[in-house]
Amino acid sequence: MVSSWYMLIPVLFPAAAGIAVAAGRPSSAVRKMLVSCSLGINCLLLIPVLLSGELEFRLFSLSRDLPVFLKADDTGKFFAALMSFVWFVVGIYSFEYMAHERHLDRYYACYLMTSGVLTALCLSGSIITFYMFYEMMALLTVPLVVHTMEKDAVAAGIKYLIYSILGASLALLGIFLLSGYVTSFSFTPKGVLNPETAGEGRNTVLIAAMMLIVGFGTKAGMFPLHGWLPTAHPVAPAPASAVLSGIITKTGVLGVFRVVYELIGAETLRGTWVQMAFLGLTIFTVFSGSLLAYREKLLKKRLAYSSVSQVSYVLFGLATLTPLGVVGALLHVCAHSLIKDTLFMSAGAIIHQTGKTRVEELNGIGKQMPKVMICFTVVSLGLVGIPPCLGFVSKWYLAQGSLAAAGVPQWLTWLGPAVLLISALLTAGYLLSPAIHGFFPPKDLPAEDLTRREPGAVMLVPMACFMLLSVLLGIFPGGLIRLFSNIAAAIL
Amino acid sequence: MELWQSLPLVSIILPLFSAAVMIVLRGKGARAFCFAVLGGETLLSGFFLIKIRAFGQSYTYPMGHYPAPFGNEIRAGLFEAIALFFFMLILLLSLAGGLHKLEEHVRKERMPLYYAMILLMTASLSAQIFTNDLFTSYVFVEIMTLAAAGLIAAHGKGRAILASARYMVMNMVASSLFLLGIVLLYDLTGHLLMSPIRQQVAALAAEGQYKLALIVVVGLITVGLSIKSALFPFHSWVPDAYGTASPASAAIMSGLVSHAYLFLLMKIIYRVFGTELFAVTGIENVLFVFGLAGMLIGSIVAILQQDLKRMIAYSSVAQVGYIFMGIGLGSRAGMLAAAFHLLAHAACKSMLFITTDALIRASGGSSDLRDLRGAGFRARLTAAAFAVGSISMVGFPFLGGFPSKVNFVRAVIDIDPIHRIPVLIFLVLSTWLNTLYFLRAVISLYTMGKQDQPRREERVRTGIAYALSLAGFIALNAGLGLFSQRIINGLLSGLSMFS
Amino acid sequence: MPSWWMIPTVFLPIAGGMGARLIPFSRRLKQIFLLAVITATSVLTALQIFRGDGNSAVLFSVMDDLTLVFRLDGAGKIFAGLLALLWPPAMLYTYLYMQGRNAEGFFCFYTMSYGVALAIAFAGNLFTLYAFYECLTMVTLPLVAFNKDRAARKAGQTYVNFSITGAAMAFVGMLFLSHYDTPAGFSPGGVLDMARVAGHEEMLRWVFLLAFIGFGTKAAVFPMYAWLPAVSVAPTPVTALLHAVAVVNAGTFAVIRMTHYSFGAAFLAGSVPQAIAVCLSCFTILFAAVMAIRQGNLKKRLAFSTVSNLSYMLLGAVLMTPYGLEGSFLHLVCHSLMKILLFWCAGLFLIRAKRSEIQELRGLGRRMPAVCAAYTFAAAALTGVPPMCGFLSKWNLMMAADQEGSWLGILGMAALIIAAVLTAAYVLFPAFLMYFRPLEGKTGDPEGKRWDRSPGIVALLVFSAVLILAAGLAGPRLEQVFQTALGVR
Repeated sequence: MVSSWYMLIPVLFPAAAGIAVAAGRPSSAVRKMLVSCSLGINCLLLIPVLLSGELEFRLFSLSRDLPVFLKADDTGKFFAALMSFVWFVVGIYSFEYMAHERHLDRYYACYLMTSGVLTALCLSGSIITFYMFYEMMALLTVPLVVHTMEKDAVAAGIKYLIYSILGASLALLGIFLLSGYVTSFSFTPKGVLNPETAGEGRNTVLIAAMMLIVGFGTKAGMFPLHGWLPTAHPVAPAPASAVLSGIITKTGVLGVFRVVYELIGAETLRGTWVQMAFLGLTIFTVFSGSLLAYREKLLKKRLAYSSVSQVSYVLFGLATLTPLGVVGALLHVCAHSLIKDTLFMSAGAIIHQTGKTRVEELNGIGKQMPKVMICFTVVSLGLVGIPPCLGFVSKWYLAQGSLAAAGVPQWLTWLGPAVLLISALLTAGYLLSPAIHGFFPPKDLPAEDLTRREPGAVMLVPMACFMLLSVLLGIFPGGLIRLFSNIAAAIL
Repeated sequence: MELWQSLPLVSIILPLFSAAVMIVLRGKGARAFCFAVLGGETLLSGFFLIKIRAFGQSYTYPMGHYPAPFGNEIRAGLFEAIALFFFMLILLLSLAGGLHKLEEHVRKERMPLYYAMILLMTASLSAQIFTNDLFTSYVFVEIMTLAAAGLIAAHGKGRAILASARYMVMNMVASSLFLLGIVLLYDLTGHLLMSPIRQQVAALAAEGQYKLALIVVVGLITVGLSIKSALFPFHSWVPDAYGTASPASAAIMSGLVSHAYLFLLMKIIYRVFGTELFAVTGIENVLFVFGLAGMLIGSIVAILQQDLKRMIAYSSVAQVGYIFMGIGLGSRAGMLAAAFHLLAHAACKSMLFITTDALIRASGGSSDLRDLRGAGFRARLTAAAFAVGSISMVGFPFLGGFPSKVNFVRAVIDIDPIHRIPVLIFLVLSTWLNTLYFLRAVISLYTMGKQDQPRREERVRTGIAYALSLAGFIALNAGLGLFSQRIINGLLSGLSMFS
Repeated sequence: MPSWWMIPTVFLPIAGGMGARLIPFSRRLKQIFLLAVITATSVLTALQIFRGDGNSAVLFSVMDDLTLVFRLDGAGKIFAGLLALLWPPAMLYTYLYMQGRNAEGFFCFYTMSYGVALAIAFAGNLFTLYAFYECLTMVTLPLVAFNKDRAARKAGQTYVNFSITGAAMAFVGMLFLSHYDTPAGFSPGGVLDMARVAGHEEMLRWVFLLAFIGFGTKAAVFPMYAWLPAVSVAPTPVTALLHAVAVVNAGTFAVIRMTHYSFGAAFLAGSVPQAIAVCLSCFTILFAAVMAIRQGNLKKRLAFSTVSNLSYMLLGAVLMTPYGLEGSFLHLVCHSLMKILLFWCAGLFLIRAKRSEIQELRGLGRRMPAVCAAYTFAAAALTGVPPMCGFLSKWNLMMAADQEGSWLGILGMAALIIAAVLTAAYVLFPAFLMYFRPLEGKTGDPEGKRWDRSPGIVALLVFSAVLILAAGLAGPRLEQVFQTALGVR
């Protein structure tokens, strides 16, 4: 529908808007208008890209064999659409939340520029392009983490940066090790291994694969490089935490996806120690993340641990190397983004309105902010996996995918669903418990804890939007499932 | 026998008689006369150099027409001519440069005596260079020693006298050793002229007789001359002697006196013992080792010095070590390196000593290195000359020190590792050490202490003779650096006709 | 353009610098004059690079077989081109920086250094390179000790001690080579006369190691690195151009000339001295990176960073492969562009904000936005973030190490990887402080909201940043040009 160079538009437009905010230093009202319009228009600008067939646009080359180019395939389009949409909605939410914060120029400038970079990331055509925008994104999101400039925020920011760099370096090393064994660096379904050399270099290829998985898995919060996530997400402002948990982690997921399925190829990895390790790490992260979330008393940190766990669901699905697993993974990408963003937005609303950060303080919060808590509860149900929410559909597919996994020992394929189940129970524990206590507080609660303090529409509407979307998509998942099945069919 | 071939004899007799004449002269007349003689001597030696180069070989000149082996003899070749010419140049420049300070140090009525010492020294220098007779060389060695003692003591102050006395003691010991060696050699061979001695010595060595005696003789003569030329570990008289003497005296002492003895030693090795015998006795290796040690220890002690002149004095010890190392290598290339360094070092070290006068004045009369700071702005030409000398010492290209170092490295490229590796290591170490103290001083000159910026009025005034002298020195050093190949070629052919 | 033009190209800045010192013009006139001289020299150099006829220009012989010769081949063109590109803007920076100080001698020696550095680039044999290498030490010494105080004196002494000792070692190597070589000067495969060498190979390889440490002194290889952090007390124009670009690159260039163009890679590959050289380079890379993290002073930190990056280039050179050579030159150029910008920023922090320690840089992001942005950009580039040129050179070096094949290559790769992470740590952290920490005021802080409001400064910073980005974007083209120039593949 459009020519290939058009792909640059949704990349450059928000970046330009971000620079305009940084340089122009508009007043608060102008800025809000600028940001909301830019994000909204950005979503619209993306539509032609989504509707076109496969586009490919070459930018430049970093070295002889390292081309940097954009390519729009199904996976990329899906991720780009999800990210842009969530970015828009959370952006709206942030206006009221951040109204009393300082340095908003910097925040929104980085916010906008990151949006552009994310689109480029999703539309990357080669691992080199992906790596380049990945690094840019890591640098641009640091200001979002550090925003409040308090001591722990700055420390968290440094930790985030260090982990990002470590992960990126590991990934770069993996790319480098692979360089001798691939025919090109472009993402091609089923992989681009050079059949002649890949045979002898099999060990190197596998090691490189593991490095890439762990390296990109850093952003996705996979053990062992997950340590930044529980530190960074709580200290960032709620809208930033929302996009960090909801979107930024998915860039890591996208990275792993591209590497496993479109660089190395599922067949090469099936049944190898890499797949076993990958499965093992994700299962471990799912379990321990949930456990830590259950024991955590700070609300935002609890949600952060929850993210650690949930994103590893996605990675688990990718690790099974089955069509069902892939579908489940991608469904959960969508589900978790929507759900976790809602959760963070609710937590943000609670903090914004009442200043309460700890779970035990949330008794009776349902009476104070019923609408917020309804959103919270509904998406929590989805995250636990109760139909008809999207969370249920995705978990169903994940479990099936695990059982269908070939090449791995039986006990592992059973372990997956078992852990998913345990984790679901823990999820119920750590999410539904505050919800229940919120709506049904103990009788002896002081009265002022029961006055209504609902936040404004600017904060409520985004939450409700995501909540409704997650339920709707759960009831009518067909379109998504079809899309994902196509993707899975191409890569497996 | 052509007329110019008598020039060596003239170059000995002229200053000898002029020294005698000097006694009756006074004041400005004495000075003019001395410079005239020196100038004339320089011109003569230059002329002689041209002539002998064209001549292409060395010749002997029997004195008084008594044929060998009975009479006395002079032998002249290209090496001798080059050496004399350079030494004369350096002597002239040193005296001109240090004159101002000398006239401060030495009492007016004593100056003619000083000039007489200088002239005696010139005669002795010529004699040692040209003589072919051992006893004659001894006589003139003694004359030079006495003259040098006079130069040191000319200062008149207590420390100088003490230094001079110390100098005399050590040199007397050395002279005695030297004389003893000559006497023994006479006893063994029955000759005093060098060439016949050589034949006899060779015969004796071939027969295997008097092996121990020969070693003793070689040892005595070598040690005697080594003490006089300040080889480590016989150098202890140097710091006091050079450090307290007037700059001109120090320049002449370090640039000429010790080098004259070195020249004599080289001559004796070539013409009396022969290089093979010298190698066989093992003395060669001893010189090699002590040369290396001197290179290192001289520089190490120099680093520790606080006084400018003493620092330069210890540097002389180190540089003499180079020359001995070259001799100790035993090869033609090693001798060449030593010979070139003889000239290069003389040119450089004399210049350094001459500069100390103005530098000390620019530091408010102190010769402490710490007071030297900022002196570079108050005595520009002097500091520049000092800088040039310093970097020449560390082997900077385009100056005299560079070809010298090239020669040394080239002398060891192809020989056995036992000699090669220590030489290379010590050369590098020595360069490092030299940098440590020389360039430290140079940088001090151009940076401040806690004092303020120099003002124009504080500029040190120096005379025209001084400026010309420094300019001449710089030109000499540059010439040695840029036109070294010619000089090296001359030295090579001179060495080949040396024995 | 005939090759003898190289001689006036070299001596124009030397004479111009000396002339400006001795002739009493007004200050303004002198500045303009020197800038004109430098620009003219750059133009002449560019002409020589693109239109030169590739012949030799003989100056004179110091000794029979030690002749001063200029000849511009591919490698020399790269180095000369870099110097010609960076010296004019560096001079402008110097003028900006030294405003208000009595710096006439400074400008003159700065100009003279250009000529000497060019002579090293133009050198047609190892003796010429060595001679001007020594001259470079002497002509930059007044610049290092310019402040004339105690710290300057110490720095000058350290500088000269290391430089001359290194030169002495290089001297030995040069003489050995002159004994065993053919009269070719420099040639990509080496110029050893193998017939004469026969029987002495081992000795010559050890001499190579000596010369490596000797020439490598100006390239700050361990253990001869300590002068580089010491001279960071010199005025920033000196550290920026000379000790990030000209002097240190001259050292690397000399090592490359000695290794690939004199001894020859094939002769040295696989030997123990080569292995030692590789180990020294790797050690320096890591050691200096660790030391950089521990520095609290910005310029000292950047100095150690330079030490580390120089050993990247040395590593590329001593891997003895064509790719290594190419990677070495690429990093030579790319690092210069990045490091000069970093030092320019450091200098501006010093004179505009009076801040020299890293902890003092907090919060400057608001007050000096242009400088901080430039610093962050250059820091990201140095870390290797694409598409700036840092990624290009590091990638090439990694490829070269990988393809070298033996354990040396693996060691090199490991060093490069660990150093990359360390680099991010030491160079990005100050950027973090600039933006995410509140400003701590000091007495003597300038008035007003922005402290770097000056079109000249901004222009210079932008120019440099554009170069860094352009070099990265034009990566494949650059690689191609270098390959042709170096005769690689």
